[in-house]
Amino acid sequence: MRLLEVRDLEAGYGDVQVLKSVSMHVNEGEVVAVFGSNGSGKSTFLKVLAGILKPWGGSIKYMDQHIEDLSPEDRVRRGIALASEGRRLFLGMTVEENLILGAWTRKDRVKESLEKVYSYFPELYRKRKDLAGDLSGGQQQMLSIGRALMSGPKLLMIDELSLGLAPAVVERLAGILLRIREEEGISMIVVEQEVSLALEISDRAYVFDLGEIVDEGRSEDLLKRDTIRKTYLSVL
Amino acid sequence: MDTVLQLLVESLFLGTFYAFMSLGFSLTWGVLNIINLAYGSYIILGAYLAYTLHIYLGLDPVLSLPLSFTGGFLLGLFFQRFLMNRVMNLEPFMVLILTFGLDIFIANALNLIFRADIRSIDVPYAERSHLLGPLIITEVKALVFVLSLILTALVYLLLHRTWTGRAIRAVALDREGARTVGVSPEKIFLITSGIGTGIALASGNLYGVLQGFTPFDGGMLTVKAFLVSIVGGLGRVESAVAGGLFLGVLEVFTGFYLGEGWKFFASLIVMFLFLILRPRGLLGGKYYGET
Repeated sequence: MRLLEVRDLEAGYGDVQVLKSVSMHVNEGEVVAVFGSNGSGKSTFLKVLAGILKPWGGSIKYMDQHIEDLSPEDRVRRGIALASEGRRLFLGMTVEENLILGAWTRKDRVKESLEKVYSYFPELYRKRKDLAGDLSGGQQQMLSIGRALMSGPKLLMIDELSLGLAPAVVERLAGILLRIREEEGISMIVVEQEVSLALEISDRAYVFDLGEIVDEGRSEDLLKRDTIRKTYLSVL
Repeated sequence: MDTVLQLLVESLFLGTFYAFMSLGFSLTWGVLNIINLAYGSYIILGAYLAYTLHIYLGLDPVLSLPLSFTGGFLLGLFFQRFLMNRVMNLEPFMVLILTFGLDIFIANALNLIFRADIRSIDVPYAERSHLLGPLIITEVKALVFVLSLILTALVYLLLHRTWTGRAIRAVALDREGARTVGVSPEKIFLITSGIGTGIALASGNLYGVLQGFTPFDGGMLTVKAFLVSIVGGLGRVESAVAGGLFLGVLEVFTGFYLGEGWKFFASLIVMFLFLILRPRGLLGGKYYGET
């Protein structure tokens, strides 16, 4: 069952086109990785899906309904949540205030959402009264994912999961994500520069280059593919 | 010693009023990134509104406070929706020009209606004072102090304990982050503008009982709100309180020891020193150059 279907998506900033005829899909309960070199349009793609950036053309169908014209607020309300690149946390607010704001579109379920997030990230519970700006990079990433989870998403999009984090922290985060997928049945799009990680935690993957999808397939197949191994995994 | 104590109490009273008066200016600057040069004229507008309600309906300015706030809130919504939204995404200079024009318009409209004579709201308790040990407490100043304190605390609670308040702070900290969680910055701009203008008009009620006013006093009040925001820091209640108290102490002590003429000049010198040496203000909040 398709949760998200993107067809011929085009977008950019000012006069500069970044995404060129991007088509992809995400099935229910599936983890999809998106990777590619810097500037290939991965983050722009997520911004368009979240409604932060308006597309120039193409279509986005979510749960069989067109959502191109929906505001970010309406998309969050329908279950599309983004853990942004750079985390975009409210650094001058406490951890708990950040999480509470994540439930902006379902204010009646704050308590149960908080309990759920704290069960996945006990560290956040211990730090709940601290300012987000005082957290370590790994804790901030947990907060970013936790805040996105507070809206009760069906599709969770994570931009640059491993950016600036120690390998041990990334491994732990990846484990928690898989647990969330298993227990909550949430579909995910994970944009990631660390290709081996992206392929490890995903079912399928899309490869972006200069705003276009240049390769796609099941993650286990892509891991074996020579072009992928040479270009992105530095295997000679 | 008694003199210094008296001056400190006067500073506390005046500083707390300045803190409340400047909250709207600081909030609008911190959240919308707008320096509203018409802010002082909003305060004067509030003073004339309270004056009119007092003269024609016999309404005490304290009782007409909610009316001034509501009127200001609606005015803020209107200005934001039909004026500010048109220039917010253009050069910052455009916002300055627009609010400067608005300042001139309000001042001249008030001059047309009320003339330029000094007006004052003559409440029955204006001249009453009480001895408290070595201190002389003027009833009207104490009343303005208590009301400013309560209203500032209410704004603090609004910003920290309500959904709307948290969203206002979130937009001030990171607009795109706020959008990510589903908060619409555009709606928050409207609400913040409403609250900011509401605070300005409500503080006009208090200003009107503290001293006489004319339609052209707005400019000086804008400078004071500007100074409080620079000295305290932007967009936080605590910052406005720190900046307000600082200005209160500075004005009262300079006025007493150097003469009334030095008050404003000393404030300007301090403001320039902060702009150059400590641009994040006393509490190290948002930098005035940050967007």
